[in-house]
Amino acid sequence: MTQWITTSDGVRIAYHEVGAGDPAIIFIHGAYGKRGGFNFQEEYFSPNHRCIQVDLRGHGDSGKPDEPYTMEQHGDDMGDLIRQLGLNRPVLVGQSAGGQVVISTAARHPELVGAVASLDSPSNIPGWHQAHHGPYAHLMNQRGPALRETLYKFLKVAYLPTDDPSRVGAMPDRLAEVSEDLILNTWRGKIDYDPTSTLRAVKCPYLYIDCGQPDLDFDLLRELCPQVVIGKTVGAGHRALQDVPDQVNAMLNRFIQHADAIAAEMIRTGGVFQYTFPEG
Amino acid sequence: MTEWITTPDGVRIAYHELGAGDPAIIFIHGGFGDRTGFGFQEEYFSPNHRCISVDLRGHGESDIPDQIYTMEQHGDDVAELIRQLGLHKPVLVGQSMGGQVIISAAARHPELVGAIASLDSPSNIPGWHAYHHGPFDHLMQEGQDIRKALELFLSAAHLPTDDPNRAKNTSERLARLGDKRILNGWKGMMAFDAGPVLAGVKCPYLYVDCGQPRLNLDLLRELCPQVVIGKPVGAGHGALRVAPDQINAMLNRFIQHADAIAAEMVRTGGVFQYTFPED
Repeated sequence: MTQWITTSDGVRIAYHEVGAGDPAIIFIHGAYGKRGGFNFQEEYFSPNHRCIQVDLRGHGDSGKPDEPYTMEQHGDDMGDLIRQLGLNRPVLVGQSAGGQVVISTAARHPELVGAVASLDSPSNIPGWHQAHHGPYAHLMNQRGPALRETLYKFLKVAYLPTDDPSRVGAMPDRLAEVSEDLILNTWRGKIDYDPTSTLRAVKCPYLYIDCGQPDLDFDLLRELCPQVVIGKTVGAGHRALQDVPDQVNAMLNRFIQHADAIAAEMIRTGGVFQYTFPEG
Repeated sequence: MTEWITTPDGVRIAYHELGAGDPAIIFIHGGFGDRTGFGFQEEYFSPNHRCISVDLRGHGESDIPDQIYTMEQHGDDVAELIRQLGLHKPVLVGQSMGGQVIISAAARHPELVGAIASLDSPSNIPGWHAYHHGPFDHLMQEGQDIRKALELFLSAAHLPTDDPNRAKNTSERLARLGDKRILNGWKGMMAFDAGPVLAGVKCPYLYVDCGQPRLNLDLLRELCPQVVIGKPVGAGHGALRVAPDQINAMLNRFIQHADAIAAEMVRTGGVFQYTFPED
C-alpha cells in the first residue's frame, strides 16, 4: 500500500513497507527508476526486518517539482523519511544512483543512519562519473527520441549475456514511461557530481557491491572511506538485484548482521588478511 | 558412506557421494584438511547434482604413502576418480590448496573436466606462493617446531566475524597429523608453480577471493582470460562454512552459466564495455 510523507519543502515522497524488526532497511532505486525493484529483497528480509521501499522525488508516485534532482536533496528527503517514520538507525541500500543517495544521507545526517550499502554505484568513486557520463553530456541537451536513444546506449552496456533477456528487452519500454522532465532534471542534478567530500563524511559501516563496472578505483574509495567492505557478484550485471538475488541478499545479510565488526576489521586490515612472517 | 578407488600406482583414494544430476561436482579440500568440510555445499547441491567429496592422498581416509604430495599427482588422482566413476565433465571445486589441485587436473586432463572453481586459493596466482609461504619454509623442516610455524601461517586468514570455534578446530586437526605427513604436504605445495599450469587451463574458471593480500588478479586474467572473480562479504578462509549462502549462490550461478560467463570474460575482461559517442 502506497503511503506518503511530505518533506520540509512540501514535496510528497511515496513509499511502502512490509515486515518488522530492527534495523529497518530502506531500499532506494536508481536514476529513472522507481520502487518495486527490490521485491526479492523484501521477501528475504521482511521476516526479520522492517523493509521500506521509497520513490525518490521526481520518480514513481512521488511529487515531481521541476528542478534539478541533486543527491544532496535526495539525501535530505531520506533524512525526513527516517525522522517521520521514527526509524532507529536504519540500513540504507541503494542501487546504482541510489548509492549516491545513501552516502549523501549518511554524510549529511550521520545521527540517523546505521549502515549503508551501494549496489553497482560506480559514481560513488571520485572521477568515475566525469569519465563515464561526461562523454554523453552534449547529447543530453537533445529532446525527444534522440535523448532516449542516448540514454539507452548509456544504460545498455551494463546488461550481460547471462541476464534475464526479458529485462534487457524491456528496457526501451521502461524508458518510454519516463518523462523527459525526469530525464533532464536527473541528469542536471548530477552533472558536476563529485563524491569526495561526501565519502570523507561517511563514518558508518559501508558495503560496496561490485557487479563489473570498469575503472573502479577501490584504493581511492578505501582511502576516503577506510571502513568500506567490497563484495563482488558472479555472472550478473547492473540488474544483479533481480538476476542473482541469492548472492546479493546473502552479502547484504552478512553485512547487516556484522556491520560494526566488519567495518572495524576493514579499518584494521585494509580488507586483506594480515600475515605475520617469522624472523630470520 | 566411505568408498575407495585405487590409482595406477596402487594408492587408495577415499570419497563419499550424495545426490544425482549432471554436471557432477567434485569437492576438494585444502592442505592438511579432509573431505568433511563441504556439508553445506552437499546439502545445497545434492538435490540437483551428483556431489562427490574426496580425500586427497596423504589426507583423511586415503592412503598415506611416504612421498612428496605434488599438485600434479593430486591432479592425476582426481582424473583417475573421474574416469573410474564414469563422470561426464564434472565441475571441480577446490578450497585453498584444493584450488591448485583443480587447475592441475584441468590442465593435465582437459578432456575430463567441465569447469573449475577455486575458493581462496592465492597460490593459484604466480608469485604469491613464494612471497607468502617462502618466509615460513625454513621452519617447515624436520627438527623445527613445524606446528607452531603452520599455526602462525594459518592464523592470518581468521577474521573476527568467523565462527570462533574454527581456529580451535584447525589446531585440533593439525594435532592429529604426523610430522611426516605435514612435511610431505608442505613440500608438495612449495614445489608448485601455477604459471605454466594456468596457461593450460581452458575450461570455465571461477576464482572466489576471500581477502588474501597481494592478489595479482590482472596476471591471473592474463594467463587465464576466461576467469571470473567473485568476492564474498565478511568471511575469511573458512567462507565455505562461515558464509555458505554467499558461496553456494556464486557457485550455482557459475555452474548454471559456466560457458556463457567464460565467453563474456574473454570478450570483456570482466568489466562492462562502454561505447562513448563521437564528439
